[in-house]
Order: sequence, then C-alpha cells, then structure tokens
Amino acid sequence: MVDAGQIALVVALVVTTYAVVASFVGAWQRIPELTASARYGFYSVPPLLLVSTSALVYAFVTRDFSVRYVAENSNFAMPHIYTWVAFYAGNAGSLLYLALVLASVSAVSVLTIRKRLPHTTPYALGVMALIVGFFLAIMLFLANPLERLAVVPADGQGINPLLIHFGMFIHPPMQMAGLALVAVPFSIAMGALAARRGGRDEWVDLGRLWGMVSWLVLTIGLLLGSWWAYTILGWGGYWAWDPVENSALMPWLAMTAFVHSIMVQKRRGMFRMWNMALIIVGFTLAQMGMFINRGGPVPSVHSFAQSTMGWLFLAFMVGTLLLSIAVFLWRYDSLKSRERLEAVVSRESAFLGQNILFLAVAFVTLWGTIFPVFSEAAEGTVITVGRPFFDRVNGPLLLVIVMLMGVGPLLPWRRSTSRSLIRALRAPLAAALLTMVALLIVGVHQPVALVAFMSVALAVGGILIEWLRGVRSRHRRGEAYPAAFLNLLTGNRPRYGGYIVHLGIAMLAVGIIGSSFFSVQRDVSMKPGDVASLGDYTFVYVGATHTTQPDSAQSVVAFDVYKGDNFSGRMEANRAFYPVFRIASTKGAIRSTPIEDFYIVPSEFGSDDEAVFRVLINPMVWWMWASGPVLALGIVVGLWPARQPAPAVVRMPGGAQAARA
Amino acid sequence: MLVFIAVALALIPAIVIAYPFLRRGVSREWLDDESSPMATLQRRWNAALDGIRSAELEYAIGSLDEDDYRWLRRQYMREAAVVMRAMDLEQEEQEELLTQIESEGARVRARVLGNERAVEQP
Amino acid sequence: MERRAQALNQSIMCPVCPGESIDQSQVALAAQMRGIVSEKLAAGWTDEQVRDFFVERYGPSVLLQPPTEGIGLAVWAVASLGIMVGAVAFALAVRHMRRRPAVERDSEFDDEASDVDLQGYYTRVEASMRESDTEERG
Repeated sequence: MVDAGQIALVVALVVTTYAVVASFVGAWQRIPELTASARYGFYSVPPLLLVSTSALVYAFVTRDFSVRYVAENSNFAMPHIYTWVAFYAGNAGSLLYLALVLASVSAVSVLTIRKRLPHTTPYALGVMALIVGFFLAIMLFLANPLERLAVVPADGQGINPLLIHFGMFIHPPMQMAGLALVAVPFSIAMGALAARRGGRDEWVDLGRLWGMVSWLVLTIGLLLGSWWAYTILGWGGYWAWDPVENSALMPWLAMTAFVHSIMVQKRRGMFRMWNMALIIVGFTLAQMGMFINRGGPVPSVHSFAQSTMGWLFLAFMVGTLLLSIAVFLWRYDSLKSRERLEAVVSRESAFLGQNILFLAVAFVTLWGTIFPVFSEAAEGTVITVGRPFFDRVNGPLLLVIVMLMGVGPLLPWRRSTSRSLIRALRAPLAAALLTMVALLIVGVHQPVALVAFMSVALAVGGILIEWLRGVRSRHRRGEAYPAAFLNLLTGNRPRYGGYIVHLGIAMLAVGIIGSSFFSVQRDVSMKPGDVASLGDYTFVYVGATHTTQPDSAQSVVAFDVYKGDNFSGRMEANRAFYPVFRIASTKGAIRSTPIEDFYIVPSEFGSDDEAVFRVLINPMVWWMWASGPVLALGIVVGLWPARQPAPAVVRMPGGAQAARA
Repeated sequence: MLVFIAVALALIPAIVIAYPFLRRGVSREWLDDESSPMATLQRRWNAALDGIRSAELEYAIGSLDEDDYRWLRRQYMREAAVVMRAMDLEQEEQEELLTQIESEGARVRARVLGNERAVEQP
Repeated sequence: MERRAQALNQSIMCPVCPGESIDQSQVALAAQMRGIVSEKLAAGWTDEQVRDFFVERYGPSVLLQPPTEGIGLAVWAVASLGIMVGAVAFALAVRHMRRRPAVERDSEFDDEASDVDLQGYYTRVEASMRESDTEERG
C-alpha cells in the first residue's frame, strides 16, 4: 500500500510536469488536442494524490512505523482519530496535504473557468500545475512522507501535544488550504494576462469568485488559529503579532483589498493594473506565509514544521514574483484603462482608499516581521519587533479602516453630491452618536475605544438602516415583510452578501476593541479554600487533582465561581506536561458570555498545594468567535449564482424588431 | 502485485492524456472566445444593468439624492442602450467598434456620451 | 502597581520562547522574570530601570518594542514612510484618474447616435429589465 502511494506520487509529478509543458505549448501554438490532453492529465492528479494520501493514512492506522513520517508523528498511544492531525502535523505530511488540496481545488476551478474563459484556461492551468508540481517535486526529492526507515522502531515518537486540541482539527488545514487557495485566483489572473485577456476584464467574475473563496478560507483559518491560541496557549489573549500569525494575516489583508477592488473593475472597467498587482502581492504574501511557517528565519510559537527547506520556498516565491512581474510588464498595454474617475467622493475612491490602508497594514506587518533579520545582518544585533510596535502603528490604521467600513458602503458609485452624502449618512451618524451617548452613560470613557465603537456603530447602523428601508420600500409596493426581505436579498446578492460580511467584521471588531481596551487581569497565588476576586467575580479555589497518564502528567484545578452573589458554576482548567516533548499545554477554564469571558488559567504549581493562577475578564471576546459563521453566510450569499440580468443577446425582448424599424 | 499496481497507476493518466489525440472529429476547444466582441458587450451590458439596479435601489432606499439618481440612471441607460445597439450591428462592425473601445476607450465613450452634454447644457 | 507590572511584562520578551512576552509565556523562566518585575517595582524602581536591568542581562533583543534610536529607529521610520507613501500614492492615483480625458464631443458620432436614435434602445433596455425582474420573482 505504501509503495503504491509512492508510485502514485511519482506518476503525479510526471503528469503534472506534462500538464505544465503541454498546456503552455498548446496554448501558445494553438494546438487544441494538446491543451485538452494537459487538462485531462491535470484532472488525474487529485485521484493520484488521493492514492498517496490513503497510503499514508493506512500506514498511520496500521501503525506502520517503517514509514519515517508515521514513526515521527504518531505512536501506539495515539488514538486513531488523531491520524487526521498527524497527517499534516509534520513537514512532509503537510506538503502532501497542500498538494492534494491545491490539486483538487485547481481541478475544480478549471472546471468552472473552462467554458467561460476558454483561451485563458490553458495558461491558468499551466500556472496551477506549476505550483502543484513544485510541491510534488519537493516532496519526492526532499521530504517524502512515505519514505521508509532502514531500522523499524518499536514505537513511534508520538504527536506534538500542542496539536491535540479541537481547534487543531480544523485550524491548520484551513490555514494551509487558505494559503494554497490564493494560488487559484492568481493563476486565473496570470492566465488571463498571458492570453492577453487581462485588459478586457474577462477574468474578473471568476477571479472574484475564487478570490472570495480563498478569502473565506483564510478568514476561518485565522479565526480558528486565534481561538486555539486563546483556549490552549494559556495567556488569556488570542493575538500577539507573532511572526507566524503575521504571515497568515498578510495574505488575508491583500486578499481583502483584492475582493473589494475587483468590484471596481467589474462595475466600471477601472483598476485593471491595480487588481493584477494586488493578486500578485496576495500570492507572494501567501507564499511568504508558507516560507515563514516552514523554518523561515523568524522564530515563533506556531511554526510546527521546521526545516531548512524554507529557503526553497523563498526561492520559489522570488521566482514566481519575478515571473509574474515579467508577465505584467509584457502585457502592460492591455491593462491600461481609459475610464475616468468621475468624482473624488465615490465608491471607487473609497475602495482605493480601503486598498491602500490594507496594503499599509500589510506593509507595516511585513516590515516588522522581517526587520529582526535585517538588523541582525546589518548590525549583528537582533532587534525584537513585538506587539507594542504593531499595536501602535497598525492600531490607528485599523481604526481608520473600521471608520471607512462605516462610510464607504454608503457612497454611491461614480459620483455623489453633498446632498446625497448627507442623506445617506444622516441616520447612521445618528446611530453612531446614540451609541456614544449610551457608552458614556454606561461608563466607557476611553476616547480611542469610543471612536472605535462609534465607527462600528456607523457601519452596523448604515447596513441595518439601509436594510430596513429597502424592505419598507418593497413593502409599500405591496409585498409582505418576509417576502420583501427575501426578495431584497435575492435581488441584490453581491450587495447584501457584502453587507452580511461587514456585519461579521463588525462583530469581530467589537470583540477586538472590547478585549484590547477593557480586559483586566490578575495573577493570584492561592491555596485550596482560598477566595479571591476580580471585578464582579469571586472565585474559590477548590483544589487540584494530579494524575499521571502514560504520556503526560495532568493537573486539573477546580474553582467555584460567583458572579456578584450568584453561584455561576464550577470551572475546571487543565494543565498537562508531556515529558517526551518537554511541553506543557494549558487549557484555560473559560466561562463565555456575549458580554464578557471569565478566564482562569493555572500558570505554576508551587509547594504545599499553592498554585499561581492568572485570572482575566475579557469583554466581548465571544463576538469574535461568533463572527465566523456570519462571515461564511455572507460569502455564500454574495457568491450564490445570480441569474444573469436580462439575457439581452440570446433573447431579444418583444419590442426588438419594432425598435429597429 | 506491485508491478500490477504500478502499471495501473501509470496507465490511467496515460490513457486520459492520449485521449484527445485519438478522439475523432473537430476539437471544440476554442469555439467560444471570451474576448469576442459579443462577450465583451455582454459584460458591459451586465455592468450597465447592475449600475441601473443599484442606482434604483439606492434611490428607493433614500440614500441617493434625486439629481444624482437621475444623472446616474441616465448614464447607465445610455451605456446599456449603446451596448444594445452595438449588439445589433454586424460582427464586423462590432469588431471595429471594439477596437476603438479598446484603443481609445475614452473617445468612443465620448462619442457615445458626447451628445449628452448637448442634452444637459442648453 | 499591578497594571504597571503587567504593562512591563508585556513589553519584555521571554528569552527562551521567541516571540512571546513574559506576560504571555508559560515557561518557568518567564514566571521568574515576572517575579523580578514585581519585586523591583515594589522596591521603587522606575519602568525604565527595570527594562535596563533586563537589557543588561539578556541584550537589547529582550525588549519587544524596538528602541527609537540607532538601528531601531529604522523600524519606526520605514513603517511611517510606508504609510506616507501609501497616502501620496492614493492622492496621485485619484488625480491621475480624474485627469483622464473628460468626455469630448464628436460631432460625427453625435449624428450617428443621437438621443432620438437611442430612444428605441431605451425602450428595449427597460423592457429587458422588467423581464428579468419578473423572472427573479417567479
């Protein structure tokens, strides 16, 4: 079985290489048989990789420690369910996973673009196959997940305990899939450019579709990663501007800019070069993410598959970047747009401003992340660029972005007179002011937080008010309220899908603002029976139970928690130490409500039952995790295929002949 | 056994790859062209209609001023009308029109929109 | 006092667990360093003195916030420069797109596509919009 997987891997590389060559040559020389053959060949790659994957899974399940990867990432003690995690926990396995995902999604995307972009597809497919081929080649020559060991060990080394967490079942694969998926819109864009179709906007619809899909996957990956950090890293926070977090954030920022600016090209035929540049930047940053994650130069808590092959990823990144710049310059002329920006105050310029802001955040993040490498090279001293820097520089930029999220969607396309602007802004502004007054009454006096909350209120208010008015105006035309709501939604899917996404982002923002400005924490040392308090909460340390598992030492601590005078339950936190890995993993006890999280985490166990705990009240964090489903819903609504508006070509309306006469 | 698997794994892609060369009949690979004048016009048509719809919606909701709405709607209507007219033209003329749109988009738009000034200004 | 300690903890990196602050890290050394921070603060040290204390022991890289002098200044300078370049680029791009030739009049084409001429098409556009509207509902 393992050998079959090996063979499948080799065959997959050969077929992929063929697909690259045949697709480009076929498109270039206009040989339809050749491009068709490349395409069919490419379709056969995912099944082949599925064979390799099955082989690896089979080796895991049968505890076949003659396979190096299995021996390094599992042992007899590992429950079978963790095979899924172990599959991508190491370097070689994650490459196989990436290749499988990328090949499958690429094949699906080729199916979606083939009919509508017949000339672009061969080039796009060539690019996709090239990227898949890169992964396959690295796997076969440097990090083969199915490589055999000369001496078969009696038991494997086991899985990294930090990965044994529910979030780990979805977060890493989502994150990796997101990074890989950026390759799809990139390939479509490059294909369109190479086929000299870039300038005429052909690729825009499908580029937008796949851009949004990859955006959603990246978003979910980031959210799950933060959630994982929040619940298991045991420090009470979810984001620390750590290099690996940054490297996942940067492509997300670029893709966020892209999914917005692509709309301008769709609607107005503008921003052609800009969109190309954005997708190139997005893809480059996605590769940078893979590079940093995989033994890049900057150390981090999250990098799990350290290896020197990171440098190969860097080389590949530089190579694809140079190539895409070359293609860009080669087809430069086809990208020129003559459309005029009709007004400075318009949706178009709001999008441009949004793009610049997102790129600025991405730039600051990139710079801060890689700076230690520079400073070491230049002066020999490592300068750490940590959270204070990012908070201080990116914080204000993000605040402006949230403000723009409130105003931007209210600006009409093309032009807006001040009267329209006032009309559109009146009600949301009132909502924002109302929010401010309410917050002041509640006792929120932090100026920055007030402005931030007001911006969120502006965004949410704008959306809800527009929604309300839309429904009402339909209702006035004789539709019942539910029907009016549904018709409004289905009649303008991209618009309302976008609004739903914005609502999700507003929820995320509320969580971030609440927890960054109003979090309180305390480190307390307690003995069983001790009582301490933080804010409204009073907690009694009941005691700890220590148990020894075959692979770890577990300590479970229990607290009785009272909010005010009411008993709100017993909370249990857990700290485990894995001697083999010399890693401690802490699972905080979290009582989560939409208003605030109460969070207890044991940090040290001293002598005579005394232990130190960190206790936190994190306001609004709940909203961050709740935003995930909302974001997903928004994307689905936005992408749900709408019927083409009036097929003017196929069926001429009744009056056609008369009008001509 | 292993040899059999190896042959099977290699053979399937080989057959798939060879299939297009062995197939009879004319290839349908590039029957449509996404850059054909008709396809481009269709895209412009869609964009114009999207524009009308969103202008109407924003006006109905009350976030667009009456003047702005009239202006926007007229722009989009004209674009849609011009696209429709172009669709009625013969293939050849379409090609010509599009070359103009591509090479000097502004000028064509100018021709199309030029008379609007005449309407607006007197 | 506790707040000061926490702020300090967040600005000092744990030397053995790269990228994490001592506030965040769960290893013994970080806990020890947290202890030192609160001890020194209790002894009346200023924030600056505490930071210097750790820099002396572990080198400048122990501070999470880059210094505003020497090469550390470059971090801040380049970041602000980047943002400023972005702002300028925005202004230039808007200006460039605004300057694209405004719609010019072309008398020849005017005759070809006069408003009257397009009138029939307007009706058709309206008609196809209505048609797709009814489809949408049905």
